[in-house]
Amino acid sequence: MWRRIKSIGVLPPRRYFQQWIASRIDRRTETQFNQRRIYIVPSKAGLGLLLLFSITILLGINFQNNLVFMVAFWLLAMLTINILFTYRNLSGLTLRAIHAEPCFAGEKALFWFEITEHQGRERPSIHVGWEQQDAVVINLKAHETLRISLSHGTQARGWLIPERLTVITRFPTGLARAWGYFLPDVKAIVYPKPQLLPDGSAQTGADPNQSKGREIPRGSHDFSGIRSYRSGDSMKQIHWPQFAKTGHLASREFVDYEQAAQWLDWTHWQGQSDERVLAHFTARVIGFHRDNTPWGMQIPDQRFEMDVGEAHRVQTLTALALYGVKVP
Amino acid sequence: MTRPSDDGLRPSLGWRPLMQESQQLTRQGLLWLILSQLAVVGLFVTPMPIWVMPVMLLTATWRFRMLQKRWQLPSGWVKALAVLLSLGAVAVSDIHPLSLDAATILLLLGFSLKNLEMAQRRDAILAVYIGYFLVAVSFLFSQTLLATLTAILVLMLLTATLIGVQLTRPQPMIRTLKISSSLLVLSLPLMIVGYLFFPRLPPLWSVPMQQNQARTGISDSMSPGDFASIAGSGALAFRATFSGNPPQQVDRYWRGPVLTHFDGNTWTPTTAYVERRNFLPDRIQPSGSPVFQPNWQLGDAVGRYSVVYEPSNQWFAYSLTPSRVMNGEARVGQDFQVVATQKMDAPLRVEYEYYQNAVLDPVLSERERQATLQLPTGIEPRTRAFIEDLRIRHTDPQALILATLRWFQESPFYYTLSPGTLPTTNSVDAFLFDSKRGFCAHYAGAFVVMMRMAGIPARVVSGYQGGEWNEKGGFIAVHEFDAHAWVELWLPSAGWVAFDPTAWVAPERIEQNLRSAVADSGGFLNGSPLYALQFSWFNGLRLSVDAWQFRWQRWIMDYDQRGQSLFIARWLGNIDSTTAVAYALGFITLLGLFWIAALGLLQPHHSKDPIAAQWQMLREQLGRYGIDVDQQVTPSQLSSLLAGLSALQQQAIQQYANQLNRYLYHSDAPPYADIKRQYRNAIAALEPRWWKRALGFRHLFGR
Repeated sequence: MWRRIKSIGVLPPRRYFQQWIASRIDRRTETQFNQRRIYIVPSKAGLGLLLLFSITILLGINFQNNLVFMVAFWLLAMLTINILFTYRNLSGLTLRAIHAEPCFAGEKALFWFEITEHQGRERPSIHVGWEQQDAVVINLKAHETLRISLSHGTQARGWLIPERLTVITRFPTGLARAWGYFLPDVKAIVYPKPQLLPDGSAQTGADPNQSKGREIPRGSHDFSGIRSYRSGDSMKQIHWPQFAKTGHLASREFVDYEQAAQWLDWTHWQGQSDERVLAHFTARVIGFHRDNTPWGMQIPDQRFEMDVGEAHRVQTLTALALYGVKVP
Repeated sequence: MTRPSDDGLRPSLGWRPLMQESQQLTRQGLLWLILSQLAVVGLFVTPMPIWVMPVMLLTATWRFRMLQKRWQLPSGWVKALAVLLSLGAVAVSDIHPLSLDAATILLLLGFSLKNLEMAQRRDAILAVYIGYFLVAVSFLFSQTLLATLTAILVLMLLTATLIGVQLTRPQPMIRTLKISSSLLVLSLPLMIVGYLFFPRLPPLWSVPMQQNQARTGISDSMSPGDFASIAGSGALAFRATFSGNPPQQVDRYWRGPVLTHFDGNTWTPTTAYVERRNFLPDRIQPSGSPVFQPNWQLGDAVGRYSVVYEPSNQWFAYSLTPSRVMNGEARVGQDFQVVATQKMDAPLRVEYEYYQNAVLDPVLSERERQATLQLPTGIEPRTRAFIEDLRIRHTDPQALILATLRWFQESPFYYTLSPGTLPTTNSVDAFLFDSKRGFCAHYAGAFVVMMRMAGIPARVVSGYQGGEWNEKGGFIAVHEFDAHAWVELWLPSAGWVAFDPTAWVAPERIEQNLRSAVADSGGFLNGSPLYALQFSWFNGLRLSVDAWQFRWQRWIMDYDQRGQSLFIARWLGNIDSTTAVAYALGFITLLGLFWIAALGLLQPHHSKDPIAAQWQMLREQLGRYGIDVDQQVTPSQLSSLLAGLSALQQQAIQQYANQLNRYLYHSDAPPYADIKRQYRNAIAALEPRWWKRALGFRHLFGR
């Protein structure tokens, strides 16, 4: 079980600590938390308990009361062993990067991870997330593998290589905080932000009204005729005036028209900056794909022949996203 | 919330984080908190004024109703009113504002009122910490074994609360309790070492402590009727252990305040004594240099004994006569009475040596003689006439004393705890010649009046008589109902000699106990818990519990500075610092290993995901049948690849693949155990049985 939380919280911002951490972790698809990868410190509540311990000791000294000492040292001992309990809640967990879903710049990319419990212990209250981004809290059952998604904000097209993930737990008592890092070897493609250029439609040289192209039957746009009702026809299709007149159900038929093939050519946009052209192309590809219009694309060094469909859309958008981007 | 499915669609989670980072108190966390708060306040039911309890109940109820969404968070002025009312109640009550009692009450009230504004996890943690502190404070009021066990339970509840507020998903409360108890149990070794080796320092500053509740018990004055109310109390006064055999029941006279002055109705100590007592204990003087030097010839030492007094909030300690203080914060004061150097607001332990054939005050000072012959003028005419008559017949003081006691024995006196009321003037006359019904205070008081009239210096000694021998614990337990009053007469060359007129009237009171003395008239401990000691099985149980209580009390009390150095000398000897460091390091290592083993942290890490390992194994097995399963294939795609297998094998693998698919990608995931079983079936179907292999039929099953 997992659910989203606002933030993982902010960890020690000490510069040297961060540098030290960065030198200790490398990118990998999977990491298992063990004594080398788990950091643990008393939390603020733990420091508070230490203060309480001192006050209780003073009480014991002033009233010469051994049982007060007992309570005080019990609290101190609990504070100590709790560190191991908290460590145990993280120890042995495996975190694996599964895949990333592409998105458009400015949207959030979705990363999928899998977290696995191997040791047959329940692991409650584990927070996973990026320090400045999305975070979730999970409760793992024994031997459970859980898939979680984490979203990450994007700014520019290209590859989004996320920074390290933080996994924190304060279970059981909140007196200590154990955490570890995972630098996932995963990257998301960020498509350019779609943005039509002002004179976009004119420049393509195609007028949708001029040529409607081949008819695609059983569409939903244009009315083509009336036929008798067949079971399975939707309510929207029923021609009610006919029903009122004759008492027989009749359905209206529609057709769609295949749009005239569209061609996106880089050379038409020589005056514009590269980014604006990429944004424009992206917007057009989205539109073509939505309207089921075949499109082809020519950008420097790459040419995509006329085609339709999801795979074509991904290919062309990826090419736009990675135009001029060095392979990391 | 269900697990997101892996059907390629984005989960319907939206792009903004749905939940705020949960610093809010969860429902279960709150329930834990209310529970442990009630438990903490429960620790204070006996020592604290009773009105604190309803405040807690009220705020807990309010909080609970809020949890049920029935009531709202109280508004600011309600909270302010509650705080003002609480402060007002403390101010109006007769509790000293700077005492420990007042501080405790304020802490308890704050603890209760915190309920009305608690919303965050932080608040709950603070409340738990105050709870921990209050558990420690409760030990200032009671240190019995029972109190300790109760407090440990409360500690467990508080720790469970700390866990409960951390949980992001509710779990069965018993699981939370299990974690909290394993935390506390595993921290025991470290706690014990800290307890044993933490240096016992003298108090850093003194804090006034005030026992709010007046205990029943002997006070330093005596009027008729006082002792009857004490007799109704089964509270423990003190316990005594003896190095040799304890004295016989009839010899156990525990000396308390000596009452010399009589105003016709009430017996009080001499003014000199009152003054001395009032200034003496405030300055703590080393017990080796007493201001007051008792005037005695001690005679033969009989043995040593040690007494642990229950907190009485009084100065006087009770001892056999005569006793010398060997160790402890007390000393022998005026009238050979032992006085503690501080008011006994905590258990006090004193060691004594006692003597026989002693002479107390071989010479009586003139002032003392006057004080012990004092009587208001013109009172008790009938008694005076009676004594004058007796004096004519017995000129020798000893003969006179004996004659008087014999008169007590032969006249129809009746020992009872409910003697009826006596007139306030000439009460001795009315008692001796009219009612003839009374208990120790009446007999002792009347006897002293008679002796003073006869010119013999006399005084009343109050204290306890008898006590219950606890075989299991090896101690004498003296309870409030053992309270007694007897008489001391000064005889030339013999000094102060004790006489007990009650013994002549009701010998069973002295030889056995109060219960046998009033057996026929009843009225003994009716309605008190000890009433049940009529049942013998219960009495056995009570004695065992009491023995354990005493053992516990001595363990706890004896471990002071001296006890600590004795303990270290006994177990570690004279160790140098190198050895001490070695011991410490050894202990830390052992403890660390113990903890790591106890927490199961030695378990080897499985580097592979069990599901991935299964999948890998299945692919290898299928490979033996010439079926190449690509790494990218998902369980749901597997069925299309199984064409070459037997129907049985296909079925087993298909079942496994279906389960796995559901396990990995669906919200209604089957338990892992199911997957494991299906996996074993699938592998078993693919792997030829050994006998089939041996018979060379492998090809029949294979392709």
